[in-house]
This record gives sequence, structure tokens and C-alpha cells, in this order.
Amino acid sequence: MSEKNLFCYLMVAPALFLTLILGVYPMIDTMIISFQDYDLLTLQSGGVNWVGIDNYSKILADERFVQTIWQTVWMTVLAILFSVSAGLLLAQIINVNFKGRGILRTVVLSPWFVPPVTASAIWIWLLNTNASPINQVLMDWGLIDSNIRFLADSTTWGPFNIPMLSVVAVRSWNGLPIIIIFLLAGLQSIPKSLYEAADMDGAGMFQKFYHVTLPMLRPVLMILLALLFLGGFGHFEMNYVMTGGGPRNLTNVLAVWTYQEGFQFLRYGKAAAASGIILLMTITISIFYLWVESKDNRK
Amino acid sequence: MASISINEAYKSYGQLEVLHGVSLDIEDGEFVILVGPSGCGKSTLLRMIAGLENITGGEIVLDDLVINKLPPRQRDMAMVFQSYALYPHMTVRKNMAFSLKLAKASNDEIDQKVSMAADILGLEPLLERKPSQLSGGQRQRVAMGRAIVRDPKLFLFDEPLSNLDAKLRVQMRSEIKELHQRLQTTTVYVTHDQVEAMTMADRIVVMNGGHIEQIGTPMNLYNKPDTKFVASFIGSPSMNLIDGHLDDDGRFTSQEGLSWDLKDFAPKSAFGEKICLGIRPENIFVDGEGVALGEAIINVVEPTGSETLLSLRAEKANLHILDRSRREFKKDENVTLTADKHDFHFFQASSGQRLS
Repeated sequence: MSEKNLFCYLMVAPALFLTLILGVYPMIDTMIISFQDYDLLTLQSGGVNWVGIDNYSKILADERFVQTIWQTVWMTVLAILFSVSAGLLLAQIINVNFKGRGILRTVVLSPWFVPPVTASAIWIWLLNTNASPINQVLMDWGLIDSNIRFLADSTTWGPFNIPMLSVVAVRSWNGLPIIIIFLLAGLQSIPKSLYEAADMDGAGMFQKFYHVTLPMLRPVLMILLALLFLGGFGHFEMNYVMTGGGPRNLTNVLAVWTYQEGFQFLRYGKAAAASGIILLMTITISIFYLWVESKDNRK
Repeated sequence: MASISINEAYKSYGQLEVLHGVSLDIEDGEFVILVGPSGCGKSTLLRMIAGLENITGGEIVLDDLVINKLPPRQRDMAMVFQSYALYPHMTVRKNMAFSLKLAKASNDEIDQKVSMAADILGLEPLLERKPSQLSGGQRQRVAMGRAIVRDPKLFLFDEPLSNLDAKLRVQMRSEIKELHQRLQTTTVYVTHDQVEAMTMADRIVVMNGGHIEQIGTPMNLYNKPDTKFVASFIGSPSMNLIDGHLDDDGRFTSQEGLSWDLKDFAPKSAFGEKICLGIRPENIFVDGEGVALGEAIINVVEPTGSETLLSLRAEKANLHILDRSRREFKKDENVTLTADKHDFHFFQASSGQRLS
């Protein structure tokens, strides 16, 4: 090994060591546990046994778990849809030079300064059925007759319900700033002359957005979507703090389910299997992203 | 095809006025070049015609229609940008077809027009490539292709050759000129390169500091520059300009010690005035006949084959000569200079205006 190579490995070593210890080892260990009958309550008497895919079969046979998988997907898709659409619009507005841009930028980016747990606590108050200022305002404007039970109404429309949409709204709000920053960076790298060429070619505002902005933002959007899906499938804190998965499991997501199974019911084997499902979903997204990337690079 | 008329056009950015009332009429089918140094307002004027910049004052009239307030897409003009501004995510074919697609042309019409433009510009083998897979010259051609498929009323070119190497620039120059002769579309072309302007234009508009200095045919500007600025800007190598005084007897004397007898042909208005005397390098001869300009010592010899550029010192003045006799010169050689009396240009020292 040359001296230069050795130096490179030395520099990378601390980060690599931490990743291995804090990232890779727990992941592998969790995957091993997912194939074991690892239950803290019966650990003393029964010990740890290999059970193959038993944990997976059991949790997938559980209706509430399957419901949780779908809710995880729906909530992630909805949050991404809302936040990326809003991000695209707001990034475009902030990108234009106008008076008061600085103020708008600060307002739009402010959710970033609030940690998710704190934000959840604030929103629990804002969405509290009886004390919600939002209900108060809607009531004053005559838009509603009775209080909306933002986090407690269990009426469903297909896979959707009010608590789910409420949590999705808060997740979108909290995730918006980072999306805007990504998109702003992307927008600023688009040469102005392309818009002028489109002007000359006869494009209107929407045509410029569709034919110039969106394709030029594609690389940024791709990595952003990959990150949002990866983060979304594993999202924990807002769902856990705001609803804890309720009412009637309607806002439960995989990460919360895993936590409850592992640390409330102490069934580590099943919790690890649920983690395995999350891992499978994130791997699928990663492979899809890498495939699209390599396809783009080959063009 | 269209004629365009610019009447007293002003442009300001806040307090800063960059165009100070520019007027210009461009005939149908004409190839007009706006030329001038950086910051003279030529690109701004072009962008005002295109609709990419607002007009602060005055009006721009396209075929009897005032277009001041019209957005670019309603002006039916095509523009070739300095950076080409090709859409990087589209193939050459899609780049060229884009404006037609927006205009909701049928697929057959789009195919036919793109093929025709590709044929004119030799782009057929490149139609399925992306801009990143093209060389500078090819990109330039695609940008032109994108402009000509639309058959617009007006072509606008914003320094389209400045990113090309010297050889390609010469080639594209003649291609653009040929294209104009073929399509006869009214063209406004911006460049800072006076050679480009001289070789391509029907008429040249020389701009300086937000004003038009002179409008004329290339030969007209070369033979009879209205101002000292135009005299120095048009022609390569540029004109020798010598500040001095023409006394009442018609003798020109400069601070550098030159003393020439110009009484037989100097304009009457120049007598007794402080003037700037101009004479082009190609109009001064070594050991020739005509007006005697005295002796000079050769400082630098730059032969290019067909001609030789000489830098000389006459008294304390530096002069340039472009010699086409193909005679061999040596450094420090002493030579006698002459010039034809018709080749002297007289400018008022204070205003820079031509005296005639």
C-alpha cells in the first residue's frame, strides 16, 4: 500500500469505524434477531431460538400490521406530494427578486429551526379538539358548525382519515424548508438564458415551468425524492408524539409499530422483523433510484 | 420578413441611463450589425427589440405596430444567444422543434421544417444527439437551426460567434451571411468584433456609451468615419490618430515633433484649429509618391505573408504601416513615408467630429 493510500485510509477510518459500530452492526444484529424467537418476557425460560421466517409470517398475518404498512406508504406519499408541490411553488417565488423576499424566506424556512418533537408538541395544542385556535377561527368564519377532531376523529374514507391528514400536514410543514433549500439550489443553477430562449420560442409561464424548470430540476428532484422516501418510510417522532399511532391504529406507521412491539411489548423478534420490512422498502427505493440514475448517466 | 423602426429609445436601470435616445430604421430583408465596445448598449438594444428588456422611453415599431408592451412570444422574432441557450435535456431535433410544438404545429409540419433546417445547416446526422454531445460549432448551428425553423419576421443574433475559435468563426461568418442571402430575413446582429461587422453587414451601426456614433455601409464607415471614435474602431489594424495643430498656412505640427504640409487638401474649417489627424496604416507607403511624411525608423516588423505590419517611430510619434509590397524590412531600417492626399481624415480635437 502506498503512503498516499495509507493516509487516505487513515483519514476515512474514524468515520468508517463509527458507521460500522453505530450503523452496520446494529442493522445486521437486528436482522439476525428478526429470525429468532427473541421475547424478553420468555427469555429466561425459553431462551433464544432460530425460528426462520416465523416472525415475518406472524406479523404479515396481522391485519393491523398490514394496515400499518399501507399507512406508512400513504402518509409518506401524501407528505411528499404536499411538501414537494408546495416547495416547488415557494422556491419559485423566493427565487424571484422582489421587496420583502428576505422576510418571506425567513418565514418559510422557520419550521426548520423547530425540532420535530417540539413542533409536534406545538401542533398537538394547535389541533387539540376543544382548545384548537384553528377550530376557533373556522368557527368564527362560519366554515364549521362543530369542532373538528383533528387528532381523534376515526371516521375513514378509504385509507384516509382526518388524524392521518393532520399528521401528514404537520410532517409536510416541518419537512418543507429542506425541500425548498434543495429546490432553490437547483433553480439557481438553471441558466437565465434558457428561460429567455423559451420566451423567444413562444413559451408561457406554465410551459416554461414544464419544459425548462422541471427537466432541469430532475437531478435535484430525483435525489430529493429518494431521500424523502427513505426518511418517510422510517419516520417516527411526529407520528409517535402526536398520536402514538391512534386512534384505532389509523395513524400508525412502521417505525412506531416497531417501537411499540419492541419496547412496550418487549417482543424483539417481531419488532426486528418489522424493521426488516422497513429495510426492504428502503432498499427497493435505493435500487430504483440507482437504476434511474445509471439510466440517466448512460443517455 | 419585416421592417423595424426604433424611435428615441431610452433604457435606464434605476438612476443609471444606459441608452440615451437611440433611433434606427431597419429595412425589410436588411442585415444590420450593431457594433461597439463592451458596455456601449448594443446588447441591451437588441434585447429591447426582442422584448427581453423593458423600454424606458421611446418606441419600437415592427411593421407599423408599436411593440413596446408585447411579450417576446408575441413578437415573432427568433434569437441566437451568445451561450446558444440550447435546452440540455432535449435532443437537437427537439430543440429545433420546440417553438413549432408550442405553436401547435402538426407533426408532419414539424418534421418537414426541422428536416429542411437541418438540411440547410448540415445537421441531419446530429438530430438525435443531446447538446452535450456536440462541439461548439455544432451547437452554434443548432442554435441557428432553432431560429430558422420558425421562419420568423426577424432574426436577432447576440454575439453568436464569440465562443468559437478563430478558424470556426471565419467559417460560421460566411455561413451566416450565406444563410441570410438565402432566406432574406431581416436580421439584427450584435458583435464587438469590427471584422465580423465589416464582413457581414449590409449596414453597420457603431455604438459608443449608449449613443449611436454612425450608421452606414461598411465601406462608407471605413472611407468616411464621422467621428474619431468610428475612425479608431473600424479597420484593422486601427487608424493612426495624431493630435496636433494645423496652422493658418496649412502646416500640421504635433507635440511629438511631426511637421507635415497639408495646405493643398486640408479642409478650410481645419485651418488654425487644434485637430486630430487620422491616416490608416494601409494608406501610408514606404518610398512611394504623394504627400511626404518624412522619415521614420522601423521598430518592429510583423510579416503575415500577404502583408507586413510595421511599427515605426517618426520623430517621437509611433506610427503603424500595413505594407503589401511584400518587400522585406529590417528592424532599425530608415524609411521614407508618403501617403495619398485623399486618405487623410481630419477631426476636430475637442469634439472628435469629422471636419470636411
